[in-house]
Amino acid sequence: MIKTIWELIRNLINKPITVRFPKQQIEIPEGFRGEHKYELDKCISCGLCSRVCPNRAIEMVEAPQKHKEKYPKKYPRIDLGKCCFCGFCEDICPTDALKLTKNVYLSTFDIKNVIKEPFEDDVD
Amino acid sequence: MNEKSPTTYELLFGPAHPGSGNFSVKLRVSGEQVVSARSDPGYLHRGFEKLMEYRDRMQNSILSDRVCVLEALNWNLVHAEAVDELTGEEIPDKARYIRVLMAELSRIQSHLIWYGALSMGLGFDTGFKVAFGYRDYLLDIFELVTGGRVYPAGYICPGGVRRDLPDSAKTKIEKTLDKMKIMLRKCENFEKTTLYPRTRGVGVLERQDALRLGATGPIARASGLYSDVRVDDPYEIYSELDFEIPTRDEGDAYARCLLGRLEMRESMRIIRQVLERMPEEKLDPVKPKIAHKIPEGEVYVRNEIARGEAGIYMKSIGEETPYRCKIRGPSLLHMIPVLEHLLAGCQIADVPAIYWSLNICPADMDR
Ligand code: SF4
Ligand code: SF4
Repeated sequence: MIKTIWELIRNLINKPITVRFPKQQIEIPEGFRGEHKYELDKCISCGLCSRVCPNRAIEMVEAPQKHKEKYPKKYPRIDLGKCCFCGFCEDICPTDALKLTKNVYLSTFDIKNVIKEPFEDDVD
Repeated sequence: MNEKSPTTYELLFGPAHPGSGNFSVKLRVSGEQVVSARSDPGYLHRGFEKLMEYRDRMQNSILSDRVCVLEALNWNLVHAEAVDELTGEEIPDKARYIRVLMAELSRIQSHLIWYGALSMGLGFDTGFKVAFGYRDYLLDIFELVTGGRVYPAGYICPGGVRRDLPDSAKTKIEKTLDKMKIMLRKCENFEKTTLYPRTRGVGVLERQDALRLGATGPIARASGLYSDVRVDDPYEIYSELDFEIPTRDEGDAYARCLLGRLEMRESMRIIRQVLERMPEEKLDPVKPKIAHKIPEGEVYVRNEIARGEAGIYMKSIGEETPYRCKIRGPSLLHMIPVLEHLLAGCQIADVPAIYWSLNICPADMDR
């Protein structure tokens, strides 16, 4: 009985285990496997990322017309809906052109947002 | 409904029952008593064995995460060991330590889910919330080390591990173990006050039945069988570690639940030893490779995971992908013969207690 009361008092004083999301957030550590980030200037279009991807989420696509001069080859386009965030594409990329970031806020109502185009301004 | 005796009817426990997971048991009931039970699996079949025949070793380690979501790292380890045995690759010492460290953390995490699910099955919500709350501290460690909370994405992979342990991991794990101590104390209190009266003498699995029906892991140990792959057939660094295998003789739901707590304590002991002896040197992470062939051969490896004995049979004919991969999940035998045996003759009210006390996971049985 005394133990129970002691537990009760402790629980009254203790802070809750949870935080008040979204006002408060638990920090996400470095190395988390979240949304991808491109650095296309580094990409050598080797296509390894698309070959290693277990879910075939990466397709190599050509740059839109206005970027063609600067980016003549094919570049990875990622379907986040298929991606399981394994990070193999990051691991295998020889030039670090593809990286996974800490961004986990990826829920969306628009299917267009799911496809991650290498050339962002091309989306519309 | 039986016309001759209107009190005999069939009752479905699951698959849409909140307390059954993706699994169903058909009970023949007479009044309040269960006459016989028939397990009805297959709701979570994802065809991993076939899928694995089309993927290379690293891609398969990602699939092995999902064999049982509740202890992804342990399944990673089984798969990694199967491939390692085929390739005969030398695993760096530090990687072996990290593997055991993560597997034991995963075992505690899985036992906490067991504890939570059993409490929920008994209508004891506090136990459920406490167990799942503390489990989150372990998920924080997984997040730090593997980059994902629930799915480590093949962190333990053929050839070692995918990343070195971060510098802050050691202190974080030690702090979490201290928190787990508090958790175990809470579990002990719950056991005496709530679980004991509800699970004592319920679903007794006799020793010879455990042997006959093929029970392994904590279920067998709660029925007085001393068997643990970590001791019987040591893998990784388990032979160098000092730990005990708790057993109980009662074989009832209470003994199984008690064993879960005792095993968590032993796992914590293992983790402390591993942290102490962890080699200092930097570890080269394993990166995926294209066209990485697996040498010809066939192996069967078995490991002790939280639910019992897990095994993978793998045959390779010298291609990148395995020719055949057969997964043996511990839950299969616990969920069909053992469960059917225990449910026959019990009261309806005891069904959830028996069901959850078996520490089952529909995912690893359906695969
Ligand atoms: S993280 Fe994995 S699944 Fe996602 S795109 Fe990269 S390789 Fe494919
Ligand atoms: S992102 Fe990296 S791996 Fe993919 S094509 Fe470019 S350089 Fe190759």
